[in-house]
Amino acid sequence: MNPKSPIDEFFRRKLSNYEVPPSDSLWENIQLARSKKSKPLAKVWATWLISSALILTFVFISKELFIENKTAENIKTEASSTNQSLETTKNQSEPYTKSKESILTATIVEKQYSNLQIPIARSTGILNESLFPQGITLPVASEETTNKKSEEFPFTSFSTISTIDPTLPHELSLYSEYLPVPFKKKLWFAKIDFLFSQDYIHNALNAKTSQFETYASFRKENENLKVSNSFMLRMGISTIKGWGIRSGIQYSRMQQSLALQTPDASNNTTTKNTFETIDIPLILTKEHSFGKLRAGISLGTYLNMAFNQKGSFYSPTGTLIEFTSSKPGSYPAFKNRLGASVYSGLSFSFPIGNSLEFMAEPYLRTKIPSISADDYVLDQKIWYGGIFIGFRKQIGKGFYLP
Amino acid sequence: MRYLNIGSPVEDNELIQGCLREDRKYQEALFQRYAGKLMVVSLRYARHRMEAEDLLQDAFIRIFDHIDQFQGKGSFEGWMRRIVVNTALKNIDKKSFSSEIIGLENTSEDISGALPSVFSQLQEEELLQIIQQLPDGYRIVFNMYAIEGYSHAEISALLGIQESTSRSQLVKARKMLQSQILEIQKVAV
Repeated sequence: MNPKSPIDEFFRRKLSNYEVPPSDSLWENIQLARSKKSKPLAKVWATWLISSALILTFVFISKELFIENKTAENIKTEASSTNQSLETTKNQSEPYTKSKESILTATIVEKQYSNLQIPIARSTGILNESLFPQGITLPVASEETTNKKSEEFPFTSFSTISTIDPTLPHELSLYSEYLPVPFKKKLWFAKIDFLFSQDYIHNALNAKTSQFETYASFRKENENLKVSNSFMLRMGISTIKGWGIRSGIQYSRMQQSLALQTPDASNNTTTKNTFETIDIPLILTKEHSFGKLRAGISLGTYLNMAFNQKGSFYSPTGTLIEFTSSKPGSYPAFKNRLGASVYSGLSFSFPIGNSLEFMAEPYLRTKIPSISADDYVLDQKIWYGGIFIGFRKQIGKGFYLP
Repeated sequence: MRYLNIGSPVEDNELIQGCLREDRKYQEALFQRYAGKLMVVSLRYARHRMEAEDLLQDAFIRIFDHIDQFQGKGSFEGWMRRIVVNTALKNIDKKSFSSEIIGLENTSEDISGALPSVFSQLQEEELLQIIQQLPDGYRIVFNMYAIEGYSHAEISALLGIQESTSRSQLVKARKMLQSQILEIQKVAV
């Protein structure tokens, strides 16, 4: 304990209850400073939204911006000029079903780099025309090598390939994933997912203080929030090796039909409650091909944009009250935004058409903050689980980041 | 127990709940209720009124931003006072202490008996001015120890200084306060 000093005591006694009014402008300054100051959550939101917007914008404009139509025209011209050779090769090689340009380019690469990981590339569907958005940029081989290759594959040669787009530098961009080249460039693919899910919801209700445990038990017994439906539109970009980032928007709708009665059983009521969430996912993925099947892991976070409620239940005082979030003055039992949560999933996709894949993604959404308002007497937490089913469509051709 | 309607904000708890909802009128009510008392805390730690107002502004922003961290244990006013003090300590230069400890080992405290009668004639405004005239290190340690009630160990931990430094700063602060008050008496006579 502090030893008492007469001076200490004197100052403490004189100043402990003394008040000095601050200047009249201080309150206004505080309000102004707080309105200008961005809170940590707002920063997260801003970062998230900007990231998502950039990804979505990038995906949408990538086809126009990064894929040169001139290159495609060059490939077609080259294919026409080697039509004769093409037919020969077609008979020797596997029965491709791609366009002529595909057969040409795929065969060239496969034959000349047959000791590399071409089977993986082909199984992932990359050996098609979409691989050559900027033309094939293989290096010009020596004359000796060229002649040798030309004997084996008379329809083409290194030099032939390199002339597809002579304006490009001699870099091994196409198979930079597999070749030890000094100038690696990642080939990216943009894809869009349309997914639907029926979710199982785990719902936990707990009293914040012991005096409301009876009320918590009452709500647990009478409410059954188990199932929701979700729809997600998700876009993303990924590399040949399967690394990718995805973002988009997810809408979920939880519904419950309650046959409520007051704790003393004096009143029975049936009510339908609805809870809606809008979230922005930001997910990192790593996928791998197993034959035609493509499997992957998805990990990321969801940022809740809105949590809306519509319905009614009994308050702790035993009266039936409405908690609809859009109605002013309704019971503030729930938050309007839930913050960030964790998403984890396993994705499986299978090609079913031209650049189209069927996909399934079992997932879990955990670490969702409490959905109860801070001053509500119960703490209600949920987490989701389900399987997204839908389609994945590749947008345009592969492209290189600028 | 009320759950839906919010009545007039009489109790601190209602003010806190209103502030948690970012309700502007509750925030202003909280400010109006405590700004005067907290301004005195700011004035004790600051060198002048302008600095005190800046300090109080920062403190109120922290109070509103972190009011959810008040767990209802202890006095709400005490919690706010601590935020004002912590805000004041945030920008302290440690040199304020190290440059003033030379020769303090031999400092003895000779204030033990009853205070001279001049003390009782001093107004609070004058006391604040005297405190503000203390060197930074003296002023902070004196405020924390004598008025806030921190121990030397706590001051040592909060300021990152030696306990012996805190003790010597306190002794010097008391002596300087006493000499300044006696100087006022001489001028008055």
